[in-house]
Amino acid sequence: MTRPISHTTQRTRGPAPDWWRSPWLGPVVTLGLGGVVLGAAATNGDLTSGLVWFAVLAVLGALQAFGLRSDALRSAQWGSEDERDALINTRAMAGTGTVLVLLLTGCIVFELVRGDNPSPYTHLMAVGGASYAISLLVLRRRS
Amino acid sequence: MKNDVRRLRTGQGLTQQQLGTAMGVSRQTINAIETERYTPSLPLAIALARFFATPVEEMFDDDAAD
Repeated sequence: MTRPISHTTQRTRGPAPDWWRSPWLGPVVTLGLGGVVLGAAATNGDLTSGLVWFAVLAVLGALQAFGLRSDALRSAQWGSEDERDALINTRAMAGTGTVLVLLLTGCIVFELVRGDNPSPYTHLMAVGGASYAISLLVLRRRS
Repeated sequence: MKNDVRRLRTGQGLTQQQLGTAMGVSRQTINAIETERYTPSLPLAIALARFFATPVEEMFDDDAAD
């Protein structure tokens, strides 16, 4: 085996901290989200739904944590070091964003046609638009 | 993009996994480069060229890029 040569695709302000790149971050966040949903449902007296959602998110977390031999699952891993995985993940997120924008647009149009208030879809669209604009500004400054 | 990564790798008796580990990328990424499904970033292309002690412009054939 020849000498290892490292390379990095980090183009901005140095590498991310270790905890950010940890393969356990994604599963922990997913499990934490399950806990939050369970807590919210239990507060509303609907423990059964909360447990179902917790179980679903726990399975997703387990897939993230232990299904990493799968190419597709590894691409979705939080903070993947692999540049192709990162590119695939970015494109998948962009595609997801496009679907959400189209869905929100459809919902707003539907509510307007019915003569109803299109809120909260308009609020979600505004947050998405602001987030996109801020991301553009920040990323342009950093790269 | 056409490239000589597979020829150079097999010439050194390396597996895709071994080369991927040396480059800090996955086996699948090496496979995708070799099968011309993925064009590596400039840092990775340079790292590959240094690894095989080959000029990067000889390793990757941009004339054949689609």
